[in-house]
Amino acid sequence: MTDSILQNAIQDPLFARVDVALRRGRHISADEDVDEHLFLERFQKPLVAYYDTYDAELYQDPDGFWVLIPRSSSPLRTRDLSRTEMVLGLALAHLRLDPAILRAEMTVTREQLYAHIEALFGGEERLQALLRGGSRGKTRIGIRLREEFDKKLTTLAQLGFISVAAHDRILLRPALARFCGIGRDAERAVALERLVERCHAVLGTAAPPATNVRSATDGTDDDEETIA
Amino acid sequence: MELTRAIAQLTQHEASIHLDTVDLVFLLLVVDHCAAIETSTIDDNDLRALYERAYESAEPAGIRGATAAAAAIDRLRNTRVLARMDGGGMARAGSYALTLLGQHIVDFFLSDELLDAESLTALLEQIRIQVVAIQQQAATLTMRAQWHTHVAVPLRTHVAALMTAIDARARTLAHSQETARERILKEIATHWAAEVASYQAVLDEMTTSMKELQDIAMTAAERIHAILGDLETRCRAGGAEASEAVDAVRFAQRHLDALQRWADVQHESTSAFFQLVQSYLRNVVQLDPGRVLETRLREAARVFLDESWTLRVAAEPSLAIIPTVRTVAISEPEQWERCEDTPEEIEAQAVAELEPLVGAALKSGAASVAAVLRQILPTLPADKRYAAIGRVGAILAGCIARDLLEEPQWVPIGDGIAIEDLPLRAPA
Repeated sequence: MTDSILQNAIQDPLFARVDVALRRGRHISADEDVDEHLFLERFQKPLVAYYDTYDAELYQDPDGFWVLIPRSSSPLRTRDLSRTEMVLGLALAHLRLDPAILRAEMTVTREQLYAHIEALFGGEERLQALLRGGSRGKTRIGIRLREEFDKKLTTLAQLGFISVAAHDRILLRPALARFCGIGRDAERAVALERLVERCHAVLGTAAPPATNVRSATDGTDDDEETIA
Repeated sequence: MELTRAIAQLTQHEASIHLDTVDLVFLLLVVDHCAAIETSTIDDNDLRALYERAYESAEPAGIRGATAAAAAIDRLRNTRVLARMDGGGMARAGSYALTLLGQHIVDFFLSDELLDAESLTALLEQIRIQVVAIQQQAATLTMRAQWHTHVAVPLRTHVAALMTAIDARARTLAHSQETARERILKEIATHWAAEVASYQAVLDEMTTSMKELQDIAMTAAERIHAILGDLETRCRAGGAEASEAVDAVRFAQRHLDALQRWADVQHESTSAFFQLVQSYLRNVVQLDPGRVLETRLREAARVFLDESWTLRVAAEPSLAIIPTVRTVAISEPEQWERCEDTPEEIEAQAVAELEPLVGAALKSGAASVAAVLRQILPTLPADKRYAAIGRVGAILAGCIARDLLEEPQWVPIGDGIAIEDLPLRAPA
C-alpha cells in the first residue's frame, strides 16, 4: 500500500522539485512554498519512509515547515551554517518573536536587522571587533561586514529562512524557528544536546571568532561553512 | 485652485500645521460652546476661558503663563484653524470662529459614522432609486437643456453627494480598522497567550464585517451598473445633445467602480492581517505560552560567539546532467586528389560554369538579379550556392538597368538568404 503511494509521490510532477530542494537544505514553509508544502503534507508518510532509507529525517517542525536532516551516517552530504549565517539567523529569529513585527507584516529592513544585531550581540568585546570591519555605514557595522551579511542573507533566503519582500525588506519566514531550538529548554546545554542528538545542530564547527578582524569580516577561513 | 498655484502658495508662506493635545481639546470645546449658544462665533473672553479649560483637561499638572491663552489663540489664527470675524461687517470686532480647516479637524475627531452593512445598504439603495428615476426621465428627453437638467445635474450632484457620504464613512471605518489592529497588537504584546481567544474574536469580527461590506458593495454596484448601462445607451441615442449626460453617467460609473475597488482592497487587507496574526498566534505565541523564548534566545545570542555550535542543513550537490551522446558515423577518410590549378583558374572555371545558366535565365525573362538567382540556385549543390551568388552578381554587372534603379529592396532568394535586388535589362 505504502509502496504504491510512494510510487504516486515520485510520479507527481512536484516530486523532483521538492526532492532537489530538500537535498539542498531548503526549508519548505506554507507561507510561500504553497504547492511544495501541500505535496509534503499529502505524501508525508511514504516520503518520511523514503528519506529514512537515506538515513535522513524528513522533519516537520511545530511551526509547520519541512526540512530534510541527514543523520551522521547518511550518505547525503550536509553543510554546517557559518558563524555569520548563525549571527544573522539568531538575530532574525529573535526579531520574529517581537509582536511589533506584525505591524510591518513580518518584514524588517536591513538597517533594522543590523541595528538589532548590534543590540543583541553587543557588549561582547570580541563581537564588537567582529562587527567593526572596514569603514562604517549608518550603523556601527562596517561596510565590509554589511556586504558579507548581504551575501549570507542570500544564502539564508535560498535555504528558506527568509525571502526578500518589496522595497528590499526581509520577510521573516517560519523556518527561522530552527534558530529558536536552542531556547526550547530552560537549560541551554540540554536544548543543545537534544539538537545535536537529532543531528539538527553540531558542536565545534562554528568556532569562536579569532581576534583577527580581517578573517571574520572577509568571511575567510573562520567563516567558511563546513561540508560534511 | 490649481495644484501648482496651491503648492507655490504653501511654499511661499512656509505653511505648516502643528496642533498639540491642548489645541485639539480647545477646538472641541469651541465647537461645543458654539452649539450650546447656537452661534458660529465666539468672543475673546469666552475663547480664553475655553482655552483655560482645555489646558486644565489635557495638562492638569502643567504650568502656564498668564498670557498662554492669548498666545495660543494667536498661534491658532496663524495656523488658520481660527479666524477673526471682524472683516466685512459680518460680526463685531473681537469675535472668532473656526475656519473650515478647524471644523474639519473637529469633525474628524467627533465623527462616529462608520460604514457598516446597514448604512452602506441604505446609501447604495438611495443611489439606485435616484438612478432609476433619472433613467425613467431619460426616456422622454430630446433637448440638450433637458439632458443637462434631468440627467447630468442629478447624476453629478445627488449621486456624487451620496458617494461622498459613503466615502466619508469609509474613511472613518478605515481609521477604526487601523485602531483595532493597533489595539490587537498592543494586547498581544501585553497579554501574550492569556487572551488568545479575545484577539481571535476581534479578528473574526473585523474580517466578517469587511466581507459583508464587500458583498453588499458588489451586489448593489452590479445592480446600479446595469441601470447606468441602460441609461448610457439612452443617452447615446440622444446624440450630441446628450453628450454631457453620457459624461455624467461615466462619472457615476467611475465612482461605483472606485467603491468596489475600495471594498475589495479593504477585505483583502483585513484578510491578510487576519492570516498574519493567526499564524503568529499559532507559531509564536501558542508555542511559547510562557514567553520565555525571547529571553533564552537573547541569552543564546549573547554567548553564541563563546560557544561552538551551529545548525546543520542538507547540502547535496545537484545531480550532474549527462548530455545525450549522439553516435556520429565517421566515414573513411577520402583520398583527396591533389589540385594542380591556381585559385584564379578555379574562379574562372566556376564563373564559366555559371555563365550559360545566367544566359538561360535572362532569356527566359528574368528581369532582376533576384529572379535570375531564384532560377539558378536550386540547380546547384547546396554547398556551392552561397559562393555562386557573388559570381552571378559579377556576371550580371553589365546588365544592370541603371535608368530603372530605385531604392533597392531586400528580397528573399531561398535558403534563408535575402539580397538587395537590382533591375536588369536583357543583353542585346
